[in-house]
Amino acid sequence: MPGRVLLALNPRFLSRAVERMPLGVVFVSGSNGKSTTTHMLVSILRAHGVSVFSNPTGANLPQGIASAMLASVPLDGRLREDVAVLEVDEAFGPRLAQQLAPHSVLLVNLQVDQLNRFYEPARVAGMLEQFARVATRHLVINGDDHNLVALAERIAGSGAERWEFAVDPALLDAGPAWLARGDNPALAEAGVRKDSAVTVESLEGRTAALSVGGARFPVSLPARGLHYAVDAAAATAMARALLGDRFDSEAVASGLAAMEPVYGRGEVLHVNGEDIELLTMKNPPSLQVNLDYLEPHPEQVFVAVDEGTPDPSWIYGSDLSRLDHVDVLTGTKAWQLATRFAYDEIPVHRVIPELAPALDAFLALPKPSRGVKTMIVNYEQMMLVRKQLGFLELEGRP
Amino acid sequence: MITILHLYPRELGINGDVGNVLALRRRAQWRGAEVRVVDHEVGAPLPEVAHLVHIGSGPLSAQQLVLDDLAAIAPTLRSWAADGVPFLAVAGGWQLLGRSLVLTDGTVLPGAEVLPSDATLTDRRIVREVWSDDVAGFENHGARTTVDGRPVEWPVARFGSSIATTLHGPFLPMNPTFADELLTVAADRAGVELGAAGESIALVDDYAARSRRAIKGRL
Repeated sequence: MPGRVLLALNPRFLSRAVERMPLGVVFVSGSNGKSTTTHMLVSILRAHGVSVFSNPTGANLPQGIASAMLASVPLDGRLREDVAVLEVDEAFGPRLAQQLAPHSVLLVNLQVDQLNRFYEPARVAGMLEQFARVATRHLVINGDDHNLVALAERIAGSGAERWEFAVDPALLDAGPAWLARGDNPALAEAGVRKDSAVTVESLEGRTAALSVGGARFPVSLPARGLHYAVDAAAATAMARALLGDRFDSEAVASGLAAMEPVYGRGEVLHVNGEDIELLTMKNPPSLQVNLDYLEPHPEQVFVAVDEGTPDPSWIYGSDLSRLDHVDVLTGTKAWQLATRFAYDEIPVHRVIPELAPALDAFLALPKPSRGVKTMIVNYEQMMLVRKQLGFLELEGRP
Repeated sequence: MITILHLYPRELGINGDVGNVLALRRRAQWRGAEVRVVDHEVGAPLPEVAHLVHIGSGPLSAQQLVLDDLAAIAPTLRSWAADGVPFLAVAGGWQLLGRSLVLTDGTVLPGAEVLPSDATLTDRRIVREVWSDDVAGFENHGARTTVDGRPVEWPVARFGSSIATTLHGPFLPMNPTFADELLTVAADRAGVELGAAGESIALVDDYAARSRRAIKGRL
């Protein structure tokens, strides 16, 4: 990977590239929704006429960011854009902050993400805190997330101005609040109306109402779901912090409207003249978002989970009511998943532990009469499924 | 009607421990018994009766959130335990129901003294699949547990009709004999007849047996 080589040859590359950007460097991080929020912030800033450098989705590790910058910098090694908006992985944030010294940091939420990677929310909070501390201009946090509020209190002396975004308590109570607040749900404060910079006031399908400084305006979201409204509020709050008097709610609305609608949460593969939607189960919030997005009772369902998910216990906490059956279940954890489905009385038609025959059996099903073939898989199985089906390069990720 | 009390499902539910309650509820219903699950949240009153009590696992930050409330309800929990109400306590929940929990910095948190065990958090975490002839599952914890100073080696410990385990999440779905053992005591206390196990139970138990075998095969 060119980024890795570049950083080894020239460790000053990153800091030099961003040194003279007038609106500075913005880190966007947190457990879930950082990609969407980054996209939204970029789109909102561009609608204000601001030029933006950003890293492509998923390229949130140092070498990925370096690769992306390498493709954009002129010969003097300095980016010409007004601002760099970077999606940053929680664990790599502290290291990246040493090289990129973010002026502003946006933290979307702190959820129990990849439990076996991090163990404790407190540990993730420590990582976020390390780079949030570096910010000298703006710290934007989810005001409904108890962990992030506590984090902001701890670093109150760091010099950055603190901004919060939040969801109206009435709306939080009505929805799957934990998606907006961040898990552990219990760590969130009970609904008290907060004085936040941006508030999600209402949500109807893909239209949300945001209020900024008492003024309320509608925005359209790329897809249904409270988490998208929260991401939009997060991006709007950072835009407001960065732009000051230049902030314009109409530009926020047009920036969000310019985003591509998201019709499926997952990647769509074309196989044998058929579309197959591939949904990943990374952690409880992301699986729930993916499930809730599905139309009720997809006609054909494939589920694959292997040792990439060492302990799939948490799926007992997931609401599986979107599914009324599973056609083919595979992976080394197949029997554990079968047990889970059986306790919700969701019939599993076939359990085929080996991936290749399982995939063959699923693909042999006739094209569904409605919707598309739906696959729910962990990351490792997703890579294997892609490989089996002849999709070698991972590209065009949504 | 069997009443299952689920302590702090919001705070202590990080590992899918609600699966234990689901297994108890479904298995009772499949055997024709009526079941009521009461979730106990911080600050709420306890129900008048409970025939079975479940407490799940969670990180230290979540345990600390429930400590004060637990101290308030501990006398009732102790009197139930003394009366023979079965408890299922999982990992962090077990630590809370024990006598004391010693943190890595030496701080001692008081337990509810429902179970006669003491726990000491260690820097070393145990994260692994577990299998024996009796039980299989997954543990992810960093504590040393003792009863009267003697270490508890095995992931499942018994205290009268109560069961404590370091296997989190779907301990009961994966090991249904423990579920039936707890249910039998609970049904008896509730004066409820449990019918014969039918097809649904045969199916989940077959899946569970295959899950345990798959774990055995990996170790």
